[in-house]
Amino acid sequence: MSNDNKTLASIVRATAGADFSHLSRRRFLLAGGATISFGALLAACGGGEKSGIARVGLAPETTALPDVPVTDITLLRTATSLEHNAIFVYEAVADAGFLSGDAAQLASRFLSDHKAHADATASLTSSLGGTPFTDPNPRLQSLYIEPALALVAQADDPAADSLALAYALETLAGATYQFYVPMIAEPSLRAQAMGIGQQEARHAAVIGAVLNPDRLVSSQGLALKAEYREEGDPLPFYASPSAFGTQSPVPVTLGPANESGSRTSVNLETPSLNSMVYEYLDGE
Amino acid sequence: MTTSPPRRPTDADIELLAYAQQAELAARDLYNAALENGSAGDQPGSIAALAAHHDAASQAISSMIGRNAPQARLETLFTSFKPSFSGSEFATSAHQLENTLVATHGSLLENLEGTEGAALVASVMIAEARHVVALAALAGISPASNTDAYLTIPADVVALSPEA
Repeated sequence: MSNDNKTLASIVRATAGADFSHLSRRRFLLAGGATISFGALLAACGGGEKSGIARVGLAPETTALPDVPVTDITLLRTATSLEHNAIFVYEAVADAGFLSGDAAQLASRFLSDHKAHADATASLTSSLGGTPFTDPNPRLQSLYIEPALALVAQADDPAADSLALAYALETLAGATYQFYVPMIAEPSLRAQAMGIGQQEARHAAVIGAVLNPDRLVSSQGLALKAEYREEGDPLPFYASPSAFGTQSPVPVTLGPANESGSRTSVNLETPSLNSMVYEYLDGE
Repeated sequence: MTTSPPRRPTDADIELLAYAQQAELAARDLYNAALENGSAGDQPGSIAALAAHHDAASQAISSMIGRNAPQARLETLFTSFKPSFSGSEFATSAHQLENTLVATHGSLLENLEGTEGAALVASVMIAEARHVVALAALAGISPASNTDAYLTIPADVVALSPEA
């Protein structure tokens, strides 16, 4: 068994029976906020001296987080980390043998593209004087990638779920580069970032075209004549789903159905400030 | 110490965004012409949606630059693609048009200083990169045997430029 298969197997074991319903970063932040608040309450009730009486207002000294600006280097390192998340997913899916035929061939091409993108963003990081990041984004890996792969492994149709996950991940990758454009100070760097971002969007579109060849461009949200509109609810996959690149969470449904027949829905979101790969975190 | 880029479009940005709006209007009119002459194949709904996407992009640019928006199509772009936007050539010609627009937006991004204009162009670029894929599929190109037609901008595609 390869290391990746072992990794995937350990993920499956570790997350067996876990409920990832309604998984989203904001829910985690809310949960984290509640935990922090409870921790602060406990700290306030404690004290350096054991007087035997609980007192409010004697919380121990805390270390403030450093006030670190998000620089072009930070954005490039985070982009590289996201490319490594994608590489991890495609390698895990390939090692598990979830895809075959044309789908496996396309996934192999996408994997090669992500490796090239990781090299490109790492090179740009170096050119700006930064230290390239060489691993998957740790927060996104634990929050989204590993739980999602565990669900794919448990799915009734792992091939379909692999493509659904890839569609969401590629859409998210394109959205991330788009999200970074107004945050990047140097115009030429914005163009280079979008050179990669537009290719991520094409990856997603190819999967959309394969999964929904009968309606390549969605009519949702457009003022079209009735004869050009789709009937029924929007489908989860399109080559072209909207007139603009999205910044909304990207939903993906994965894994086996539970007793009531519903499956787990995961919302993937672009890396926010607490998912950035700041240089000061290196070595921590 | 670095200076933060401006948020709103500069005077130079406005010229570039005005040009982008003209290109979007030309694309909209090309798709509408294909619908009228019956060249949209078996997915007229998708082609109508593509026309609407380009119209939405032109309107978004217009909202950003106000009365500086030309509100007129780029005639050179329209006339160069119009003859091939019909019959069996339609999908491959539209595929080339969308690749041209993606390359053009990439070129504009290299020069736009204001972050709002850059963000809008990036958003349109993502959508139009996906258009390329939709049209490659509509042209009947196999994603497995000719993946590059889906994922890369052909070497012969040249970005449009206001100076050209």
